Amino acid sequence: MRGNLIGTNAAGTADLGNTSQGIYLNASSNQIGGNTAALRNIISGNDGGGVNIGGGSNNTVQGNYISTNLAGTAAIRNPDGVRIDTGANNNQVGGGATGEGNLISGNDVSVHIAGGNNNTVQGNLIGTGADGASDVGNLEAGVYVHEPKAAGNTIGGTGAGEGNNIRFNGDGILIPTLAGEGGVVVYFGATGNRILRNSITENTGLGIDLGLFGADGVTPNDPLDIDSGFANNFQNYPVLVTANNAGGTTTITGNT
Amino acid sequence: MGRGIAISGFAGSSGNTIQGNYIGTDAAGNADLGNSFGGIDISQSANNSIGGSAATLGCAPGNLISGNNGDGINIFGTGSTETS
Repeated sequence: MRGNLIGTNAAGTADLGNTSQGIYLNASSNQIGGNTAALRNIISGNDGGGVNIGGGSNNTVQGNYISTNLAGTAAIRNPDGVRIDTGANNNQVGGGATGEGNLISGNDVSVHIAGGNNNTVQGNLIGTGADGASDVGNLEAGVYVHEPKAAGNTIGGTGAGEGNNIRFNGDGILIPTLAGEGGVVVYFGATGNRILRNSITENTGLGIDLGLFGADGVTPNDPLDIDSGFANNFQNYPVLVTANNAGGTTTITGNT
Repeated sequence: MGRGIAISGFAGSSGNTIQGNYIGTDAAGNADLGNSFGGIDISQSANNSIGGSAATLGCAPGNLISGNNGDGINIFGTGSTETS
C-alpha cells in the first residue's frame, strides 16, 4: 500500500475519515509505505487506529505520516496511530535506514502494543511534526506496551538511526493519572520489552514509566531487583552517582 | 452500496492492482460519500498492489480512501500476503 491518502480529503488537509481503522491487517508479509516520500501513505482522521495489526507477522509500516496532515505539520487524529494486538508478532514499524521511520503524531497514543510479541518500533518521530522539532504531541503517551502477552518488543535499537524521537506527549490527559503520561509506558505485566537509545523529552510524565495499570510515576527500586511479574519485572532504574570529565572523556558511575 | 472493492482469493484472485481511485468520496475528494462497509477488502488473496509511487500522494497511482463506514483497507487471511 503506497502513495495513498486514507481518511483525509484529497488535499490531505481535513478529516474525512473511515469509521473504523485506516488499514486493518490480520495477515502477514504486507508492506505499508516505503522509504521515499512518493511511497508514503497519509493515514489520518480514521475513527479506529491508523494502522491496526490485529494478527500476522512480518508486516512493515515505513515512511508514512500517521495522524497528521499531508504536510506533517498538524494533527488529523486517529485514536491510536499504530496498534498491535495479541497474535501480531515480528512486525516492523519504522526502521533505522534513511526514510524508513514514520511520523506518528497527534493521536491519543502513537504506538499501542496491546499484546504482540517481538515487534520493533524504530526510527520514528512520535509527538513531533515532520521537522522533528515542532509540537504535534499525543494526548496520552507516546508508546504504550501492555498485557502479559506483550513480550520481547523493542522500542528503539542500538544501531544508527534506530532510536525513536519521542516528544511532547501527554498534553491532554483523557484518563487522568497521578503521574501524567510518559514517553514510553509499559504496564499490566508486559515483560522483556527493550527500550533502547531513544530520545525522550518534553513529555508530561516520565520518559519511561513502568506501571501497574498505566502511567503511575516512579516505581521505587528494590534491593537486588527481585520483584517480578510486573511490567518489565519492574526493572530498577539506574542511580547515577558521579560524572567526571577528564581529558575529553566523561565518566559516569552509578548503580541500580 | 456495500464494500468499495472486494477481492477474495476464494475466487482464485490474486495479483490485482488498485490505482488512481477515489473510494468513498465525491469526485472532488472533499465530501464523504462512503461505502456502507469498508473501502477495500482483501481476503485470502496475495500479491496485490494498492497505490504506487505517487508524485502527489492520493493521486494516480495512489488512491484516496476516505469516508467509508468500515476500515479503509482490510487485509485478512493467511493467504493474504505480499500486498504492497
